[in-house]
Amino acid sequence: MSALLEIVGASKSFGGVFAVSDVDLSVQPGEMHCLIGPNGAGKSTLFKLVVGTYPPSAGRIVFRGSDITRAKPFARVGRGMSIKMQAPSVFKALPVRQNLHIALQDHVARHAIGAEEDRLLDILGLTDDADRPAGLLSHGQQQWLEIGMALALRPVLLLLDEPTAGLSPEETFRTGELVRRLNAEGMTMLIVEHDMAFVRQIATGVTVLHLGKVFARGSIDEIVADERVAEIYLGTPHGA
Amino acid sequence: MLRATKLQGGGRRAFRALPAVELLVFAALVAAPFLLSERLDLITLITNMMILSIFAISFDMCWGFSGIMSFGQALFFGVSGYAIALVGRDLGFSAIWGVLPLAMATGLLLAALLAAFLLLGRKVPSVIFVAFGTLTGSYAAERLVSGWQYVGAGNGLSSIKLLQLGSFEFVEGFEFYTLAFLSLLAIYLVCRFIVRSQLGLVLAGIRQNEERLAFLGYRVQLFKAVIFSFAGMAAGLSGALYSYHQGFIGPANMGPSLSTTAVIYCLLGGAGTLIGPVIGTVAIEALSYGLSDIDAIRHFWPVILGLVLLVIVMFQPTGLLGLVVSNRERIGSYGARGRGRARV
Repeated sequence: MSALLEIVGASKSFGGVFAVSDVDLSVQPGEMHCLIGPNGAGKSTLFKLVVGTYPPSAGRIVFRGSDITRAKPFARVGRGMSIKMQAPSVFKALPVRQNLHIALQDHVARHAIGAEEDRLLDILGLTDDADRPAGLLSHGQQQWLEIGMALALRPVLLLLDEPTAGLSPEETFRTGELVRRLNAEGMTMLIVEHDMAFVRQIATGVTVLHLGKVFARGSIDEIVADERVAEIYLGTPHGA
Repeated sequence: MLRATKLQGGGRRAFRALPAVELLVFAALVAAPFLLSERLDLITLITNMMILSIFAISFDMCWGFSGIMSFGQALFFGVSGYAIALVGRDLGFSAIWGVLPLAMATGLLLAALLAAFLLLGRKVPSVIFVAFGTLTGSYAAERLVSGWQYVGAGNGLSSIKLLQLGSFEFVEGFEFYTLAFLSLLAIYLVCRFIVRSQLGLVLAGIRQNEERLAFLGYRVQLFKAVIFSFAGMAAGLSGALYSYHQGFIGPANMGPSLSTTAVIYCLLGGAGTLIGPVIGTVAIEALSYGLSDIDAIRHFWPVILGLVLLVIVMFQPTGLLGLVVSNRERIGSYGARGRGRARV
């Protein structure tokens, strides 16, 4: 089976310093893949290369068989990619329902938008908050709303950048259940995360980044069992 | 028009101030020529206010609704004004069915060209880049016509041929007042339709979080370019009406000074509301008219305007309208009617 997303030799340097260096990564259709690593590992930079915030200094990004290395974000979304940013990035002054409306109106027939909003509100558990300004939601609810906005695009690949950032353990668990449910329904996902409890809850495949390079790959059990990974997370010198 | 809507989370009903203010302003404009029929000077003043209100609304569509800091809005105003003046002088043509569309097309095309350069480049432009780009365009145009004899150089073009509809001529007074009122009403209603449509919802998204909107698949810069071009068209209409009404167009009518005045009109009244810029224009022009006979103040008028702008930005960023209209109502209702519509 050909990969849905393929990152080939991607590098990104800022003023000569490589934040990402020669990274290869592929995500298969239906897979839920986690990208983890300690602070400064290059996770967010790699994520931004994938979503098109900026182009890579070297390498290629292929999505659904097309080279999207230089494509702008809206073009990537048009090909079936959908993105949830790290910080909740909702339209705070607009009601929750309109946040979903804005995500839906470009590709859903007008008469069907209301029903689709209701369906998403139900999935997100935000039905009772539909008419509240998004800025009044809790941090966790804003994270879910943004996931809902990403889902509204009916993507073939959902990209989540630290979906549990700033969430309580209970909210993190609920987010994990939501993500697992989406994956079970066939959604392919690439998730940048550093909360290992969350990764254990959801992950099928894991890539560990360290100092901008791929440090390890495998299932969550293999990664957890890898002492080198524990060392880079805890900051202990390898072999010490 | 006036209606109360349910506040979310409770059974209280809130009076909607914004439609009431809109109705009040337009009712006053309808009544004014009848109440002031003996005062041609005031009829002329209000006509001028309405023409400049169109200009202020054009800026509001850019800044208040789309986050585009167009610091050179007078460029479209002035170039369209010159265009119809030249057509009148060189071709002897001033039929309303031809010259007003010409003025709007001139503003639209010029704004579209500038938008292509400032907004549609490879990189997402910053607010400062667009502000300086438009300001530079306005300044360059003013300098260009100031030294160009064909367009009257520093003296501008005067004795502009009267606007005509068949054999009827729009002279200063009730006739031109009616034309200016209908033009303002038409532009206002079109803008109101836009900002309350699904496009308006996109514009609300642009103002609040441009990057998020791009990640929802919207071509944000293209939307901005469309609104910028539309605003150029409205400014062009305003410039043409101004030229016919004043019988004159000069370099200052396309320069930074008038561009900045549009910013003040808009911010004083309340950006992002449509009726705010009309109120701001009326307030500034009324003050200017009232104080014009006092020499000591007239010379310092630009300084006073500058201070007004400073005070607004620092202490009342929502403008005069913000004193009577709540933030939630000011943000307004967007999107499809009924479901998915903001309830305020």
